[in-house]
Amino acid sequence: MGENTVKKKNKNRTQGQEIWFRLRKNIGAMVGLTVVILLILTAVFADVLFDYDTDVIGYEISERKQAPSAEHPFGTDDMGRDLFARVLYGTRYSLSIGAAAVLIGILVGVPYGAACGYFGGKVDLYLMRFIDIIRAVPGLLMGIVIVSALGQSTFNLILAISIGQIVSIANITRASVLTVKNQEYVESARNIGLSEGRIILKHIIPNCLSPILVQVTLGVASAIVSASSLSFLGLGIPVPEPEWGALLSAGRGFIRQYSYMTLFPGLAIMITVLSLNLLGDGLRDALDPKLRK
Amino acid sequence: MLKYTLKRILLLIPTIIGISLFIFLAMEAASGDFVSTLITEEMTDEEVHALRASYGLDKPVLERYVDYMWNLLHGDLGTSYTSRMPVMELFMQKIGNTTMLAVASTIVCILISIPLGIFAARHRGSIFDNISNVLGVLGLSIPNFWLGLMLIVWFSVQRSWLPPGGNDDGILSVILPAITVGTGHTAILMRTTRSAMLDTLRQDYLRTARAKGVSERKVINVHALRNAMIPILSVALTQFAGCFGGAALTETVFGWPGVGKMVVDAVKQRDIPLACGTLIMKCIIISLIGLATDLLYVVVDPRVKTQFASAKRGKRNG
Repeated sequence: MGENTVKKKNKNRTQGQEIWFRLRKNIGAMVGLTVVILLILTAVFADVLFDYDTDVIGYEISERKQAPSAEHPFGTDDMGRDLFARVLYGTRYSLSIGAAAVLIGILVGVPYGAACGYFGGKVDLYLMRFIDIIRAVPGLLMGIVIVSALGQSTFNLILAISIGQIVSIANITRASVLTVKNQEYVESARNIGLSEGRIILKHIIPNCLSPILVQVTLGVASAIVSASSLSFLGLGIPVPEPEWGALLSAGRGFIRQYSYMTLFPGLAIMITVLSLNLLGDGLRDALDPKLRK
Repeated sequence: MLKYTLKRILLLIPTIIGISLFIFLAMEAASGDFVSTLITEEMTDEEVHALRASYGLDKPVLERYVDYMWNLLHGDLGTSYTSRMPVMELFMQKIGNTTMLAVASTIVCILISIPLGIFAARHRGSIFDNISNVLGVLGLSIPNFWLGLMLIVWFSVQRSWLPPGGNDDGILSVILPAITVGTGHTAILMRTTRSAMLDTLRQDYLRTARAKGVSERKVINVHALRNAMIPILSVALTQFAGCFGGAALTETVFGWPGVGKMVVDAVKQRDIPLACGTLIMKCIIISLIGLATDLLYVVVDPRVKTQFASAKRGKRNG
């Protein structure tokens, strides 16, 4: 997509090319995008790089609590497991949990927010009041309550953090539907007798995609942080899976002598979140029609 | 204004009903209630049943919920299962610590972010602006429980400058938790200040003020900042309110005895009255801060008052 865009003048670009062109000029966003692609590749090929049974969960007591070295770049934990392997393998857990939570957020939040924004009136009032009540409970606490109620498992963890995603995606969808629904082309669609469902699906939602896309990028970042927070409190993925928050939680006990055990998993979370935030900010700028020349 | 204030306070009622119902139902669905943690092997079924009855846990969940709401209407938040003390008393013991942390982190946040945001806006596109942008995204991206752990490593374990946790050392012990909570907030407030100032700096009246010979310092600090204040104030106070709800992780990392940690522990121990009561109190506080924010706008920006007045007039006419 990108090769021709630089040579051509603005006028000849399609919308997608135009966005890509503007995104490419944003250094932060490109760094973010590169790191995100690398992380996805790491997650996909984690089991090619490391053997799960021997490298990731298999322990060797003689090698425990070793400081970072050439052999173990991130050191080893209290069971003698290589933290480099565990942190890298953890990419798979953290990214997929974040993505899954946001996916649920999209599937529920977009129709919910669209209904609020499109129908307005009483529907909007009651549906939004429900969202307000959910928002009154701090996100972390909501997660703790849900995981306590449903039991500790990967699926329940995803479900717990998806609530926050549903709320923010529903809000952003509602806001953009409100601005789009009074546009003239929606009026025309209604005049030629299209059904409400068709108008929402074909004419309104596609024009609300930009803010939703930005929210999704930033949402994956916040979902990863939420997931690792819950794991850190001991309510996330059961041990010995190498999720980043769980690694932090395990390392916390040895923070006085072996602080590297908490350093690297946290760095991994920070780098991932930072890249997604940079990409999200870049996308927001690139998709903003006000900046289009 | 009064009508608006009352309406805001009345809106709390469905929220309180919703939250408490949610906690009761969720705890009902959880495997094992509070009593199941007390049961020992020697106990007979009758003894277990009596124990359950002594906490009122033998009744069906909806009946307990209705009882709870009835007591709540009489200003009684219930009694904690774990400590057998009134929830209100426990809450009052801890709320001071949470308030202290919220105030300290907000001070840290405001002192750093507003000057930086103004400077970045005035020197838009400069190296400083770019660096502060990058630092802003970085501050947003650090998971704060990890930042807390790293601060403990750097300042308590390696250098022993500051206490690693608890609140026994007065002002010294609040520094690290306040930085932990404040970092993300600082990043957000700095961005808000920058963009609000950018919007204001374009206004014509600033040119007029300069043309009249007002000093640059006064132009920025009085004329521009005051008009940029609404979004800044709104974000800062929302963050302040958020400290009452969301500082649970930081409080846990530092062993800071506040309400956030208390409610996390309460949920883990299935202490329904404590979890529910604390949450309700938090919601009331957060909503009162929200209300105070709205009322404060009138002080900062007299235009808001005229809006209220004209809305009223419009209603009367319409």
